[in-house]
Amino acid sequence: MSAAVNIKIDNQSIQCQSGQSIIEVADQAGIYIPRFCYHPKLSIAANCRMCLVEVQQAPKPLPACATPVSEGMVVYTRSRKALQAQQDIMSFLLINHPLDCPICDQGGECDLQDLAMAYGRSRGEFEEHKRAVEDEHLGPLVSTEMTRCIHCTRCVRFGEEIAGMPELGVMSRGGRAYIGTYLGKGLHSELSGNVIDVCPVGALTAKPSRFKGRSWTFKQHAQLARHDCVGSHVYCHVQSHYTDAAHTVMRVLPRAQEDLNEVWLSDRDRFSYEALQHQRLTQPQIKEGGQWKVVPWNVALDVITDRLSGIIQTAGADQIAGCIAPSATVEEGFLFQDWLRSLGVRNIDCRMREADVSHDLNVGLGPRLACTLPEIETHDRILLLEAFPRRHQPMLNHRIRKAAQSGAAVLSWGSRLQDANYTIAFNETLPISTWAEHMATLVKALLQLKDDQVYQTLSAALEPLEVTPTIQTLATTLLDHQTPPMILIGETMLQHPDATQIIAWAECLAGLLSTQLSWVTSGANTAGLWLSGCVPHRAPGAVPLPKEDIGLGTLESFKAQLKAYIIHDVMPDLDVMGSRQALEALNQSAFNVYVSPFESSAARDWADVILPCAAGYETSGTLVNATGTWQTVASALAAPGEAKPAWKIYAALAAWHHTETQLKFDEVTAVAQAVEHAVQSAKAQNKHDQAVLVPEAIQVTPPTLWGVAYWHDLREDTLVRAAPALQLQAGEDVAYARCNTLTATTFALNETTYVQVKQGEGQARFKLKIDESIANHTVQIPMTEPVSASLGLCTGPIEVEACA
Amino acid sequence: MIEHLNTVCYRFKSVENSWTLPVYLEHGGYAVWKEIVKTAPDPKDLIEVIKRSGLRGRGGAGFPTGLKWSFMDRNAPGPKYLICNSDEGEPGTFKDRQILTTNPHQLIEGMLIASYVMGLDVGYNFLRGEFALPFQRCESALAEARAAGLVGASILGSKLNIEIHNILGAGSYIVGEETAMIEALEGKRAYPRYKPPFPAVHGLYGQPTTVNNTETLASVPMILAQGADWFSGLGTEKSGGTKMFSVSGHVNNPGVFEIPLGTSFESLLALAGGLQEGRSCLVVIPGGTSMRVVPGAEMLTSEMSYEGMEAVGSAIGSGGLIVMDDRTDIAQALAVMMEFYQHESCGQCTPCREGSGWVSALTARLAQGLGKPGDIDRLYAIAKQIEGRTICAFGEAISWPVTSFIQHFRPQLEVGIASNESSENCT
Ligand SMILES: Cc1cc2nc3c(=O)[nH]c(=O)nc-3n(C[C@H](O)[C@H](O)[C@H](O)COP(=O)(O)O)c2cc1C
Ligand code: SF4
Ligand code: FES
Repeated sequence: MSAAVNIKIDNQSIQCQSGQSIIEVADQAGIYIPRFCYHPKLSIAANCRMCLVEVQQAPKPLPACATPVSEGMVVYTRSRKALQAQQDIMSFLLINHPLDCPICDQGGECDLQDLAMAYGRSRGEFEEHKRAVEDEHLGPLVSTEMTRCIHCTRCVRFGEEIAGMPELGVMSRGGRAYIGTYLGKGLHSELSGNVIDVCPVGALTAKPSRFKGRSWTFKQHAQLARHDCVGSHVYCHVQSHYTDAAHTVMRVLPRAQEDLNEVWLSDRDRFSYEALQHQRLTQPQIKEGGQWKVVPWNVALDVITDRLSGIIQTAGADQIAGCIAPSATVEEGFLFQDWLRSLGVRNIDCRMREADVSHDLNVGLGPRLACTLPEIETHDRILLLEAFPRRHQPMLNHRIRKAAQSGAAVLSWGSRLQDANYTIAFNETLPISTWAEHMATLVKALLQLKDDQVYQTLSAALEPLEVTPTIQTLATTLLDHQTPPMILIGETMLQHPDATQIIAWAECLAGLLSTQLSWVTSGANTAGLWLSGCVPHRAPGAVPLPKEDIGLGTLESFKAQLKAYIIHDVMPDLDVMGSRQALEALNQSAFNVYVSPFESSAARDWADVILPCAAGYETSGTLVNATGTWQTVASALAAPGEAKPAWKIYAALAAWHHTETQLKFDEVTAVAQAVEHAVQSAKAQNKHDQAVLVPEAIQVTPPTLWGVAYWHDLREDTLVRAAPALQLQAGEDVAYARCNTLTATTFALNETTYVQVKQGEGQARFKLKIDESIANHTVQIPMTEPVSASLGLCTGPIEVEACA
Repeated sequence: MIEHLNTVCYRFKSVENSWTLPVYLEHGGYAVWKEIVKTAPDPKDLIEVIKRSGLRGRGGAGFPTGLKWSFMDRNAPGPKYLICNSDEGEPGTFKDRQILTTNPHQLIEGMLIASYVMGLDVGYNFLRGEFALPFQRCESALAEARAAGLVGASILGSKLNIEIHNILGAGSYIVGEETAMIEALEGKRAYPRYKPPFPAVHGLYGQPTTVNNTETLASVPMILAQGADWFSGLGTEKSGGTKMFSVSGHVNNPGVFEIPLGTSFESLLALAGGLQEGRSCLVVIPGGTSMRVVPGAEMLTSEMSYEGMEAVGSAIGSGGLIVMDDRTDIAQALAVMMEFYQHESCGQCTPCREGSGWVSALTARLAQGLGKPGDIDRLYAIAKQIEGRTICAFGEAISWPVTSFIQHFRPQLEVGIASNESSENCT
């Protein structure tokens, strides 16, 4: 229990809470106390001693970060005694620190440099040799200059307390103490880049941006991260001081947002900006006689308009489909579908990896989390169903980790073991083919433990299922809760061909536990694109369309082999479930448009028109995250060359087609307002009512060999794939197909030969890793390997054999 | 001849097999413990006895033991711990090893009594890594005591459960600092913790914990057996009881002597065989190198008690007494000590990590006669910059020898300045 406490700092009377430290109270009151080791999100180490202050009646100066306030305490932060102590500490810190700020990457934004200006003495007294510390190679993301380290241990505490991966530690003792990994294998945490921010000096700096610019020449723009459904807040630093021409993003840093990313950022969000300078498309081009030709925008738009009109006239608008990446903004999505729907096109989708979309008719406003990120921490039971948030949604995972640390039981069930940075109370695998059966069995186990009128009616359908002790344990743990459990459905589950049945049973599970399902969605804006009308069954505002107006989803439209495809920022060879079907469709169709910031050699084959668009930070727009939060940002810089923001491209295409001279929207802000308005009015008219999925009786079949499609987090979208440092960090590991020993033995596979995977008509050869975290009867297939483009639905039955 | 020489912890100095249970029992061992188990006296009364006996911590800081024990909340939820600090790392100190080798049962009995008094569940006896024989003796004594039902679950058939473990450290000086020891027991680096919170509130595994020195705990059974008055009567009014001193340096008969507090330094020096022929006592470190040094002349008129040492600006400390005669190169002596401290600093906090190296470099320079003008003032200033700003008392352990050496022996140190230019006096 904290009680109100009255203290005085520098003669200012302050009311605060018992249990707070002097530095916290001073910070709140705007009184600055110098510090290095203190970090509000990390434990107190009190080792730098820079924050020593005078406390009345204390014989010695006390560290403000570690001294709790008490009633009547009188603190002086700048008295003679306090300043003397602070200056003495500063002189100790500087004796072994290189005093060469001009050649240090941290120069200009270094806590030590700043505080040395305020507390340092102008002349050094230290005449001995300075300490030199060998640098350690920490991998492609973090640079070291360990001679600059001041031993504050923030990076060590970050690893232990936040990343949950104690990769850095203090070696040796006294003046010989240094920070390192000991093992020398680099940093592997998905949050490793945060050590750059917590390091107050130039010991740990960002490798990709090191020595590329000075912080005071950067212009800072508030932006949003584009890779996962959290929508982390970032600052985009753009070089702009000296030349107007060379506007480039120099680096990306976290922007504090307590409800989302707190003060952290995943490596993927931090370093993917590098992509903005690689593999860029900069000019509209059309294919003529098999040759690509650069053309002015109006020519490209003419070609598109003419060709699509022709197809509509001869074959109808249903012969056209539009696929848009799940990270596109609300504005891009809205104008994309607005243009296509104005042509009568119904086949519009942002779901690139779903094999069975019929369950989607069910989810009111679209898939999302049932609670906010901070609320995740309040659960005492969190069930992860085929959800692997650690690498795919690192900041979401951070909240689950916090819940686990305050005692929540995290329960994981999926096609592989959870590789978590916290304790998993239940960590079991199941053959991916058996999900529906297992989900139903869990419902049965719950029904046996809990009397429930509504769901009792399902008993007959559950008759043939057998509750194993493992499932019994899971059911018991789930029922033993204080607050309704959180059930998180991973995006891999949506890739399952039985998704509808699995989710129908998951809904029963949620009902029995008096909770709602939470969904992690792919990309940065699946939620926003649902609201913008980028699914075939919903108009803007997520208004359900009448049956006759519902078009085909991505996979269906590829299977249907239509006459024209408009592909926005997706590489069908790497990004979609059923890349074989996609490529077949694109190769037989009459006309394809590829709109993207990034070059794609596959697109060069199948596309007829390529339009370069702005990437990520180059565009203003709105993202809706998985908690339903709308976030709008302005572009941080212009797109290179002729590339244009995609929203403008689609607005122009609509105008072009209807030969209007005015764009319907020429202000980006108006677009999001229109979508938000559509959502509000649909809400007001209760249009989002959910239909209930009806689970079907389960046929028990023995598990068969299935593949499970796997998109590595550092290969997952076009942006991250074009970012060189992250690709180095991803390493070789991403290329392997994986299965456990049992599967390997059954099919005579080993790590020395390759594994040939046959899926439908397609086959591909992969290197194999025996990985005991993979479920029985299951082979994980790396979808981001170019060879996998020839495979169809990889989450599904496959055949494997060893090959040379 | 000193009366009551070796009567408390070192009483078995020359008793054969004193470390075995039969011999200890023969000498009345465990009688107090058995009585306590049988009669279950009010712990408060026992604390009173310890308070009245005048027993103070023998690990270095000299904190009154009864008072320390009274800080523990018997009723705090969860397990509570006792740690016996047998790290004995303070240079010049080698008295705890004598207890551990000759009298392990008395230590175990002391730990049991302390645990009973404070309501503790588990006691760890943390021995320094180099203590192979003492560890062996403690282990076999513990096994004997356990077999005899004196330690463990339902002691002597009662409802009392007290576990004791001997732990061998991995070797470092800083692990002797009580909170560093707690960290080490938790399996972490021996980094001292910032206090508050104090171990009595937040100690081992975050639970209430008391840390006492080996000699402190081993004294307890004798105090309860013979009475508080007996014990306090052995010493002076302000310094009750006896204290073990490990005497080394320029003496003819170095060794461990347990003497009543208040004994004159002269008598202690005589016990240690006195100085070598024709030598005079230049300087004495009375209680381990972390204490301030005292000029020999002052020591010779002093008594070995808390107040006696305070009067000459130093302290009893751990009882590691080092005598240096007039042949001693003061700069060299200081440099050797500072080399030790820079080597042993845990490196956690800035003033100690950076200051210890700097001080060591300066003293080494002086010892080689390569000092620069101003070095002594600088040395003094650096020592003062460390003192009182660190996480643990290691900062003082660096500072006190430096400042006291400069105070008393500035001219001798100035010899080390190359140009022999004297600097301004700052002391
Ligand atoms: C750097 C340092 C080293 C210490 N080493 C020892 C030691 O080796 N043995 C010991 O008993 N106390 C040592 N102490 C003192 C302990 O921190 C603690 O005060 C003592 O064990 C308490 O026991 P006592 O009250 O019985 O003296 C050391 C203290 C410091 C600051
Ligand atoms: S004073 Fe020295 S030994 Fe103590 S915590 Fe600080 S660095 Fe470590
Ligand atoms: S900020 Fe308080 S000791 Fe470092």
